[in-house]
Amino acid sequence: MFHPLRVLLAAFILLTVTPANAGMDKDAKGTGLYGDEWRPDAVHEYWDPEAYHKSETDLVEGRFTGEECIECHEGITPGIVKDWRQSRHSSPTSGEPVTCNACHGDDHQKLRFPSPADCGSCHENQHTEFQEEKRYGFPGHTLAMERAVDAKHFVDKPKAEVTACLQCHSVASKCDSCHTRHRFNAAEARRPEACLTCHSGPPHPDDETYFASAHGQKYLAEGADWDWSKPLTKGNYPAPTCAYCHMTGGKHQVADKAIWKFGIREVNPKTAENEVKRKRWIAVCTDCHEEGESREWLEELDDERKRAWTQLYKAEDELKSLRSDDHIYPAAGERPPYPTDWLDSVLPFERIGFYEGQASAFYNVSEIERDYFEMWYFNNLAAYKGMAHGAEKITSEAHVRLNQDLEKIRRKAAELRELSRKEIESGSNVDPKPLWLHGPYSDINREQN
Amino acid sequence: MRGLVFVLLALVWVMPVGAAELPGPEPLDDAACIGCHQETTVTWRAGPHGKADGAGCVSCHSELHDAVGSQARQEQSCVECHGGEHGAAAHSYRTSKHGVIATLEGAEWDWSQPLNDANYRAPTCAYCHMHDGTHGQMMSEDVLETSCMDCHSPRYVETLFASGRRTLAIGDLKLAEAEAAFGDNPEPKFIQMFETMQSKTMRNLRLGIGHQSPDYQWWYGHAALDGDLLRIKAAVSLDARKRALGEK
Repeated sequence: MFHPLRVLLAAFILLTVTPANAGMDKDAKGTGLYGDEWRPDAVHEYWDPEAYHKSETDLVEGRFTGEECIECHEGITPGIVKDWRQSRHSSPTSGEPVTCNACHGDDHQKLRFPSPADCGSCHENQHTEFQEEKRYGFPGHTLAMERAVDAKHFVDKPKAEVTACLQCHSVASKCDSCHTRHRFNAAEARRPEACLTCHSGPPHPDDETYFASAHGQKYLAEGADWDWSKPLTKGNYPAPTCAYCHMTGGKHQVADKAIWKFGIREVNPKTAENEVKRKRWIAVCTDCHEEGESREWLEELDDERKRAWTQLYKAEDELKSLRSDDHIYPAAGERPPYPTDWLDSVLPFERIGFYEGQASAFYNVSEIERDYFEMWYFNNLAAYKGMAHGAEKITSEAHVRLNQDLEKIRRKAAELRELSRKEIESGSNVDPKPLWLHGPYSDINREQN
Repeated sequence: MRGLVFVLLALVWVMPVGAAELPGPEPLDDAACIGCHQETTVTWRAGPHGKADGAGCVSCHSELHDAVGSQARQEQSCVECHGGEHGAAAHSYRTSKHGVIATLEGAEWDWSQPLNDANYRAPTCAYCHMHDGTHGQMMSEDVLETSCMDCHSPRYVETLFASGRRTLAIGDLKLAEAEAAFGDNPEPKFIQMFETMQSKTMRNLRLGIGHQSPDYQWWYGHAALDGDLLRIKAAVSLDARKRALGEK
């Protein structure tokens, strides 16, 4: 059984440890739309260094040359020095080596972590491409951090809980998500594994679906022997990888062909803008395949999306009808609201569907809403990723699960209606508020965050 | 004469007590290893592998004396017992940046090097849990922190450890809330749901933090704990509503 002392200890750890450390201003505030409403956890300085990192000032004083940095750090943190020695920065094809102070500064009291702009001072094209990705909107890499901290659940939840989000969304604020430090190897970033730390798991099984596809199988069998120093252009690789298709020619944009928007909402895949993107896709596929065949695959994906959304909308209708008839238990207002959401405090409503903010509706909701969240965010996205990456088996299995989800949601909805009917008939009424509004986690979340 | 004495003394100095020669090609068992490697045996006995249900020398080092270190340092010698290739322990590591680097480059590493001094570009199971070749306290935070600092600054490591403790503390609060939800009514169904939440989902969260896998911290960790918590509450609510209707 769970020991009450552990609860006390947990509360103690959360409340007594000052989130701000040496590296962050004591009164550091959040960023983004709701920046005034939250304070960052200390670890945030490493995921968004430009916003939060402060240099250590009580350790070492003075200005140092690259050679001097290396002399000390070879003993203190040998790993990073070994990495740097094997990097192109230490032995560039032309010019002087790029040493520590080029990226971190030379004053030990004012050290900084290089931002994408710092890397861009030499790697200008890559940085410009990366920044220009913003015009395609989200999902994408460049807007990842801004969109993460603007999510209601990010603002609402304890910051030490949602630091996991920042680890992936920091792809917007630092280049070493793909080019790990201090090697910063382009060849490493071309390998599919470089993407999978973030592109894996239930909502985006990109790794699983790619590796299951014919492309991925070829990579797994032969990839170790391919020459990864080659650019991502026609004829250089026997099978495509994540970067080959999504960052065609090494262009630092992943969203310039984003038609289906990660599968999280229904889109018209044939708008004028999407027709341009379809041409871009076909251009990639025709590096190896026939044009007609490539066009057909895109159509098949359109069809798959239609089928998925047909099922999703049926489930969504079921939930919305439960909401209209007041059968959701606990209903909005009987469970913790999102504190930043003023509308929710005057007019509580259940967030059903993408356009109502369902992305935050995975906690503090009734079971049937969570069921729909999982149907939409896990099984729907598995179906989409499987289809897009050519893993038909994963897609057909995911569609079986989508159908089962719909059946389950309908069955539960019928049960909820029946239960409500009986309660109205007999005048029985069990108040959900004590159970759903309070508890050691919910209370901390409401009062301390 | 003086020369002979010197040679004899030197021989005594270099020869380990009771170990006249290295073992031959014949298979060894744990008892044979323990006979010579006494110092390692002491720390091994004190650690989790030295317990009755732990793992003996040959489980990781094989029965042959040649190149035993190189083999045991690699991930395969750990995963077989620790949940297999697709288990949460291995998967959370594989999907971390450390695991990715090991996947891509591990085949080219010189595995005969000792487990310290950033001799490997990314840490592996053994690099952190058996840092410096320790066979004892594999989960000791001191041992783990020391291995991080071969590459990362002390401040980075301390900040991540402290933040990880807070992340885990929040998990504990979710568990406590789940248990409190059925406090007065401990039906076997609720207890079973709670135990899964505690043993599976909470473990995922711990692995996510320890191995620095965002997926295990979030989708298999905290976001899954949220689902477990609300499903326990939903089961308790349903039970209460049925009781009120006289159906139970």
